[in-house]
Amino acid sequence: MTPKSNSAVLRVVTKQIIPMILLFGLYVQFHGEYGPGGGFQAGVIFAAGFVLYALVFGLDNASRAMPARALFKLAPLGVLLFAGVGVYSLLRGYAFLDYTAIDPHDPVHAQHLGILIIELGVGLTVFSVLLLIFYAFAGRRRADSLTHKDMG
Amino acid sequence: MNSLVLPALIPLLTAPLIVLIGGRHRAWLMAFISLGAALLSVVHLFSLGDSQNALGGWAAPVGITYVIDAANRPILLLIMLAGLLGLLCAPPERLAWLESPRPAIFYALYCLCVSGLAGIASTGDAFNVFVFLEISSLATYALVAAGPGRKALRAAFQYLVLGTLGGSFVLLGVGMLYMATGSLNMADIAALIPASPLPNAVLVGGAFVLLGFMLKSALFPLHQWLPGAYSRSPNAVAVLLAGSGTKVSLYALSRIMFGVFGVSWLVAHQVDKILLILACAAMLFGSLGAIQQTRLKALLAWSSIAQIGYIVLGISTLSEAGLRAAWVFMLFHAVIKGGLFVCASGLPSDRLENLPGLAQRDPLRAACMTLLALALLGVPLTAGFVSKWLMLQAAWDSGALLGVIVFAVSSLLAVAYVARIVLPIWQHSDNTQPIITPPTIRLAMLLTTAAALIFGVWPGPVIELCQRAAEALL
Amino acid sequence: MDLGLINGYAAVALLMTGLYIVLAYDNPIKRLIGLSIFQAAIFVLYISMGRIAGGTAPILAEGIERYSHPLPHVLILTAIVVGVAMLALGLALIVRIHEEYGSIDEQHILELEREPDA
Repeated sequence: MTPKSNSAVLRVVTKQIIPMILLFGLYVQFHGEYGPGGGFQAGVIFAAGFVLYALVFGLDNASRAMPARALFKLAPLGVLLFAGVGVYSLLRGYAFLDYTAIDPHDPVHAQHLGILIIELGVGLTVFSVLLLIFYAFAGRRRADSLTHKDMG
Repeated sequence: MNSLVLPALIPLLTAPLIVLIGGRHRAWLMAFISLGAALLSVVHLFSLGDSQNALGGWAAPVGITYVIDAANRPILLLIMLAGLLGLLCAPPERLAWLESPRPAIFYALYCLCVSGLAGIASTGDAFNVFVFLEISSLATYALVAAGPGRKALRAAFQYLVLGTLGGSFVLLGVGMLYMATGSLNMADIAALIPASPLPNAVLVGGAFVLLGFMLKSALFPLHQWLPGAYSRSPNAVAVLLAGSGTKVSLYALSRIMFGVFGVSWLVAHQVDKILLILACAAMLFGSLGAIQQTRLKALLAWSSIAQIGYIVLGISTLSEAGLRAAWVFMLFHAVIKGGLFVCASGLPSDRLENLPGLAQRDPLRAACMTLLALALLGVPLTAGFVSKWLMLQAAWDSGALLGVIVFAVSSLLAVAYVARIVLPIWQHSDNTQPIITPPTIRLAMLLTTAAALIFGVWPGPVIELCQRAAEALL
Repeated sequence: MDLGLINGYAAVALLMTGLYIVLAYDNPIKRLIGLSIFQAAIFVLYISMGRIAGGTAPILAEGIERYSHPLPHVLILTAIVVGVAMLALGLALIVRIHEEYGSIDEQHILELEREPDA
């Protein structure tokens, strides 16, 4: 993954396009309760932005922008955010993941808030896990890459 | 009522916490505490009685429900005990071969695996079963790959391919049942099946679900993944898998059979005869395979294939006595086989030819191993005898003569492979260098051996528990 | 032939193709591809099941009264995630196998394995 692209066109276009990808990811994340989308799709789009960056500017630059160590913290945090909502409702005496517990006086608002929080958790985890998978495969030492014979 | 989710939830929450906090010693401690807490929650479930819990407040049949009754409480207990037993065999300093920069992940995966198994055992939703099946399976593939030596990697890949096929069959079958009934709730599907406009979809869906769980429980001839997965994985994982992995799939198999389709449907489609034939083949070829092995853990794995045949023999009778025997067999076999895998852990060599002299090198291990192997054989006054006796009775009463004959033949073959473990242990050998066994493994060996002996003399409470499980299922 | 069942026929064809690849090939990467095709066939079956004649995408909008059934879509989203995890884990195992054996060719590895256990 060390060879970086020297094409000026590619580099310029990529720099223009990545913010848009990330912005679209955020839109899909937070608009998920009204339209198509949600945490999983948003996480994938967000990760795709970073993958594009790594492909054009090299893995080293990408891991400076988003270190694997941070991703290792973000992934479990997302799961804990999701599960935390469930545990909170359990502790408040409601069923597991019953969003009503968040705001018992206004159940509709509570559903709204609940889905937003857990989708944020999903988005965080999907983003960081997908990017970690990419880092793991791309960063592997390729001293002797798969030969053609192996593939036959 | 909300406490029904705890056995699956506690380990599920611990896994991300372990990844977040890290450190192999802290991770081991956290996993141990979490499984201990989950065990306490299971004990609490025993005092609750039969109950249901709707996740998110969405009542069945729309929402996902968790159902706890007499049938799955013993299974949940089994999962947590096997999980703790496995952890005793994997204190952090014994995972030296794990070169991973983050060894704590091993324990996170271990918790995920236990959580998945507990989820399969406690959910009442057919699709949720698939989800938890995959959670536990994916964790298991990675855990198997963490085994010492490079052969673990190939065993894990083999398991991944076959296990994914099994999981996909379950998914396919659940989809067909959903097509035929419009419901994913097991109790609801059961009520809707008689009036279903698509009886053929019910039949095909049922066949796929049952096939998937047969693959997951390694019923002969779908057992190819098991020897590698058991014998190449780290010992802690082998203990967990042998103790609860296939048992949970067998539980899910019986739950779908009796909870969704019912005895009359099963008889009408000859599921009982198919299971009987497969059980006989498993008993026979499992024991024959075990005799030919040259490594201790591979021998134990092949013996497990035969034991799965015994359990399925009990299920195939479709009778209360048969199910009771199957449940007793599952519990006792988990103790015995789990104990034997505990005894196999920490041995300098896994090969059978290196067993001679073990009695001098590590007397406690040799004694425990001998007693447990005898219990595996079914010698009177051990737990193995009780389970085999109940099973033989149930098979005889149901008139499955073929089953009884193969049962006897397989038990005779078991003498041969148990002798291959027990006899060399007490032979003299020039190698008298003592084996150092960590205290946690000693404790695990003593506990399982004591359980195998105590329940052999005093099996009453366990049999009663399983009697109630059988009544709840039918 | 009833065109209404065309998705069903497609799913069966994919199912058989995938299963054949998994069972007939030695190359682990091809077997993973087969598994993915096998799973995709099941996804097709589920999604087709959710179709309702004349229904649109299940998003609330004015003037639309018929929606296709969203539940199978949700179920399959879960199954797709499981499939992705399986694929990543499988490929990671293949990378590790290649690092350890220097080959992923089944015949070659079997020759290496003739050497006794450590």
